[in-house]
Amino acid sequence: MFTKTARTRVKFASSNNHFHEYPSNGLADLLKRVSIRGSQRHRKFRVLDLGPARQSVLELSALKSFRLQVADVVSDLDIVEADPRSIYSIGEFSETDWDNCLPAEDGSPIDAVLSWDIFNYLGIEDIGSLSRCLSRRCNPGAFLHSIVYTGETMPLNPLQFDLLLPATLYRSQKISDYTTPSPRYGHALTQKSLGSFVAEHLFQLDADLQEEVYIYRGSQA
Amino acid sequence: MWKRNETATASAATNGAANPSLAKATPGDFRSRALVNRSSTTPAVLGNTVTIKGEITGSEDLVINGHVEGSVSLGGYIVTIGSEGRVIADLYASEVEVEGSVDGDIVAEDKITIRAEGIVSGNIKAPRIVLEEGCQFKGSVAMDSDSSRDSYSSGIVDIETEPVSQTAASYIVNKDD
Repeated sequence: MFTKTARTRVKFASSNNHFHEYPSNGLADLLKRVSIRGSQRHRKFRVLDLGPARQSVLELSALKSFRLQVADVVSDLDIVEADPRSIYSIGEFSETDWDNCLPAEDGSPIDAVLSWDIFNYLGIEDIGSLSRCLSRRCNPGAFLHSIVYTGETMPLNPLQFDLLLPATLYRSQKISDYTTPSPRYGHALTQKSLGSFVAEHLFQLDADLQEEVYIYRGSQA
Repeated sequence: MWKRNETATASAATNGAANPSLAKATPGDFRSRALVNRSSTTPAVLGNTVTIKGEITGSEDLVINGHVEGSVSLGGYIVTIGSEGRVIADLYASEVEVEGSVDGDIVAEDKITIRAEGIVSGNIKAPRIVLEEGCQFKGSVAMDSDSSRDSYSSGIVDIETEPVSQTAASYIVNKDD
């Protein structure tokens, strides 16, 4: 179904030396389960993308009949504008800040959150406040799909990951010469901050990159 | 040409004859390359020194390089927010192209394009939507073949149709083959 799109993008990307693709077991699994859930429900599946607006995610949402919300929290919080030699966030964002940053609620709960290369650049307290904010917006059982670095270093600036196929991610940006030690946080610390979002699967995308799928267990978790 | 409400403060700027910034533009004035190709008529241009508060309606294409607060409704026509344009308003048109900034909901009968330098905060709805890489967008997206004025201020709606879209690399993507 996505063949021509993928083919065109591969052709475009093949001229880019920084192109790298990551087959994503996490997304494949997530989409499979979403399809099963979707056949059992009446309302549309709602996806919140915390990252920047991406044409490919928009296309996927249209194909799968999702409702898409885009938050672009990194640019909104001016995280990228910070000193490029320092790590950006220092735990300054409250739940209210996140509420103001995320698109307005429309009364229907969110079923999946995409957090690609976001947590790496947030303070651990910020991840906690974001999680609490998302908890109020998400349906129990909602997915949280995250990409984090697991190698010895990671770029100082967030990279933009995109979809090549529904279950293949890619990046085409050059990785900055400036790096910082990685992983930013251990998985246990991240899990603690995410509270009711409980890790279900961790998949290695490559030697330095990992995708994590969390499930929101509800406020009682 | 403009339907203004009582609070409109555009003063002399709304008079195209008195202010050349609102006069008919020559093709060389267009910021949108695509617009030249798409439209057989010359669009009206709000110059970058023009500020309008109120309701804009009409029956011709419009390029906004100035500052608009209120609402813009040009069903059947193309609205382009130029790179210097700043719009705090809900927009309704056949096509909307954003190179500047928009704070408000956008509903298009045909297509919405947010260029790489465009900034949009609000819900967008159209049968075809193009988000160029690098654009800044925050809000909800609905791709619906029935982008009628009835849904002008209704917020997000279900995604019903499949898009034929275009990427920043300007290639046509047709996903159904």
